Amino acid sequence: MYDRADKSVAVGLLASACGVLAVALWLKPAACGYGTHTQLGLPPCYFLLVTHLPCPSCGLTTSFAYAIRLQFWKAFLANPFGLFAFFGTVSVIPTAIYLLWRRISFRRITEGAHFTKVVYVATAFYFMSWIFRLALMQFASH
Amino acid sequence: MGDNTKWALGLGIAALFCCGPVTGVIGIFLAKKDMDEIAAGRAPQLDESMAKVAFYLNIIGLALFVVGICAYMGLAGLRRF
Repeated sequence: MYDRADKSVAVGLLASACGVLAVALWLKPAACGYGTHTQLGLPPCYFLLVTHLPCPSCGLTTSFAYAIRLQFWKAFLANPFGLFAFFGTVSVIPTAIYLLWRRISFRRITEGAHFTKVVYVATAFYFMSWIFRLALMQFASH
Repeated sequence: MGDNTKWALGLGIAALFCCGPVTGVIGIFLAKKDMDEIAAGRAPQLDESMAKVAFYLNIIGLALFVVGICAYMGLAGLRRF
């Protein structure tokens, strides 16, 4: 049964995706590959300050800022998961419009058999991209 | 303990230490999935208390992240005056 809450979820998803992409376009990607989010007045990464190593989320905003400018290789180097998340965010726009148009609940997607598998794969990729960046840093320092 | 709960617990710990927003949201989703399965009686073998621990751990991780950002922005605002 499609109700008002389902419509709100679809509108919320559409607005969030557009908002994230608009902010990514407005931000100037940091040349060092991380720290772009500080342009929004947000604090620098404390994990990076304490350990001098990037956290798994470091470079996500930079990756989005590069990807929206169609600089996909730089986006990949900043954070491979960021590029994946960027395409995920872009794909949310037509999906949300389709859900609104066909009056389909977003729960039908999240309760589907494959959605949990996609979440697991995305989580694994998130940590794998962190390992990739740590290895890249190690390689660059030698 | 279900696989979703195990993952959610790990992600909750990660959310507390470094990656609050990303792992926190995923952890909440996975823990809630197990909680719903248990509530619907589809997975009586799962441990509800552990699923709840995982769920609240992720919420705490996310909340700490938001509080940290608010505190930083509040202090930065105060410094301007």
